[in-house]
Amino acid sequence: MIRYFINRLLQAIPVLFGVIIITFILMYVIPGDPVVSMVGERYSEETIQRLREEMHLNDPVPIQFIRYVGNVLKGDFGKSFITGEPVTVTIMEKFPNTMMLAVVAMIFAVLIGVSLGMISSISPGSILDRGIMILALAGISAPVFWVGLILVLVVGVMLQWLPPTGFGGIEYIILPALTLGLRSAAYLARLTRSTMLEVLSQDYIRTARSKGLPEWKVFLKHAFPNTLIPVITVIGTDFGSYLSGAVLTESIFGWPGMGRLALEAILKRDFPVIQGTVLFMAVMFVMVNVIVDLLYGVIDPRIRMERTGKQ
Amino acid sequence: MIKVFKDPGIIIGLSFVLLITILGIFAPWIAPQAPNSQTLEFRHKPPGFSGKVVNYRLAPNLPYITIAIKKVSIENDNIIVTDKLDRQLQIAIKNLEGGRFETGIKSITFWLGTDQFGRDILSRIIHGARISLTIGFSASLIALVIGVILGALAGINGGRIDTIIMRLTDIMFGFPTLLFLIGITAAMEPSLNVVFMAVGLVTWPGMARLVRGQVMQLKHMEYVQSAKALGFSKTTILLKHILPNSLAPIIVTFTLGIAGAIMAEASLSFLGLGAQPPTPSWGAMINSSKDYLRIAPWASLAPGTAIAMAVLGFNLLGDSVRDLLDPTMKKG
Repeated sequence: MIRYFINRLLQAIPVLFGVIIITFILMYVIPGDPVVSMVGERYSEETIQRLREEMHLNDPVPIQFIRYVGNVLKGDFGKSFITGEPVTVTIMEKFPNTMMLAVVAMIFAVLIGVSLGMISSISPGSILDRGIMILALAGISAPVFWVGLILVLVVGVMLQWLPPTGFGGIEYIILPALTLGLRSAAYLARLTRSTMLEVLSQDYIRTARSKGLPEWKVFLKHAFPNTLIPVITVIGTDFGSYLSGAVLTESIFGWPGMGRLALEAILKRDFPVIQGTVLFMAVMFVMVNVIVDLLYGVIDPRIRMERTGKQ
Repeated sequence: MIKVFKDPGIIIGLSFVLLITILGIFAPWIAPQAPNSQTLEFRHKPPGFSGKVVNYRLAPNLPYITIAIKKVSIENDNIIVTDKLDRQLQIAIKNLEGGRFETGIKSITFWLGTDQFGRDILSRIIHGARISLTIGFSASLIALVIGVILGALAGINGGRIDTIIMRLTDIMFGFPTLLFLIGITAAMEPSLNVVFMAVGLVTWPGMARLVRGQVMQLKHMEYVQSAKALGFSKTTILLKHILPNSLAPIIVTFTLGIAGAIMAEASLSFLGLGAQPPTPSWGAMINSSKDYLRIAPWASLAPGTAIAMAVLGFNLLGDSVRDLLDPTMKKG
């Protein structure tokens, strides 16, 4: 158990290092001089040279890289060219909004996905089952921004049940969370159904039925707990990308989170913010994946054994 | 063969894919209008709207202009048209499109409505099919080439090469795909060329892992072992014995990759980081008309439906081909 944990944690280190290298390179491949984009073109060559010196941009690249890694490890991502605020502060301001949206979206996804999958598995092949599965496939293929726009239009503008866009009370989070969670819900419905069908054909379920347990009890008490694995799988594949900024959802609903922060920084060429947000999001993504893998290990000993064996 | 047509997934998938392919290839002949031709008087007209227009140019070398008209009459070599604001305008018949009255004056029906520039949405969607298809195919092809080469290298050699390549895929998987794409496209001037290369460069690790797995599995098969014993080189064994036998899963992954690439292009263009106006890319169409959602919802919803259909089509096709080729390969 402990060996598995340590193994999994050690595996994350090269990935995180790779992420740092990529964000460092990103700064160099983005066209335009960071100093020029900071002060504007009107400044004299002298000012620009002085700033380059101050920002250590004239040092050899390896030294710059070491300094960059050092700063990152200290949690210092530099200051925004536009607002002058430390990037870490801005990120900490926006991250809770993204976190909130991600958690609510995942709750919606699990509630909707698991219940649809369960309903579907009650009578496989029925019209209800087929309908749900077609809906699920459509949900996987539908572009996020399209779903978002439809929700804005129907629920927000036509029915006026909820505010179409913006940020504030609880009523503002429902539409973006539904939009963000839809794909996971659809995927989860499919996974839950196949898990349930597999479980329901097993011996211990037959035993439960033959001892005269009512069908709903068989379902809820014996089969249902098995859906935990697909739930974790979907959280594992999707929650990391939710946290790393739901760029599309946030830009449709005007949600002030990490995704919009990154997008706006890109459009304004605000280098330190781009670098900081991309790095932060990637680290979140890696960390969520590690935690989910550890959870797998806790829940299912088979996975733990298999993965430790391989390494 | 009979089995193929009993599966509704493959029929729906195949027909969506065929429809989009035909639209994409023959776009200029199928589309009723030119994708960027504007009729400003017909801004935000709902689906099914019909209107009379005149297509003319002021001098033989200038481009054609389209304006909406209420009335038209012929006078010798000229026509007199009355526009929406009751202004009279005299145009020489030789300056009409095609040089004749019948070809210059048209009644246009906008089956899917118009956008904020009075452009025909149906025509733009048909031309957009060409963009989505090209990007989807070429991006998936790049991922295929990189993925097969690196995956095969890792699988056949094992050892240190395998470890390095697999760590590289780990790092690539460590980044959320869309974020990675946004980062790359931000580093370049936004254009469709950047988009398809970026998508290809970001999505190859899936293919590499698949091919590596296939190679590792097949290289212990007896027929491969005997080829090895006969003294064939690694390259020959790989190209003649291993890859041909992994073709099925590679094709499936390639097809699903097209769906992913179409979605990625649409997402990037929607964010303004892909196709630039006035290119009729589906994602860019939604981006430019989303601000008018309240007054002209069709301008955003129609291209969105096109994206959903294209992605669904390739997903269904890939999924059903996988199930058909190998029932044990079902995922989930």
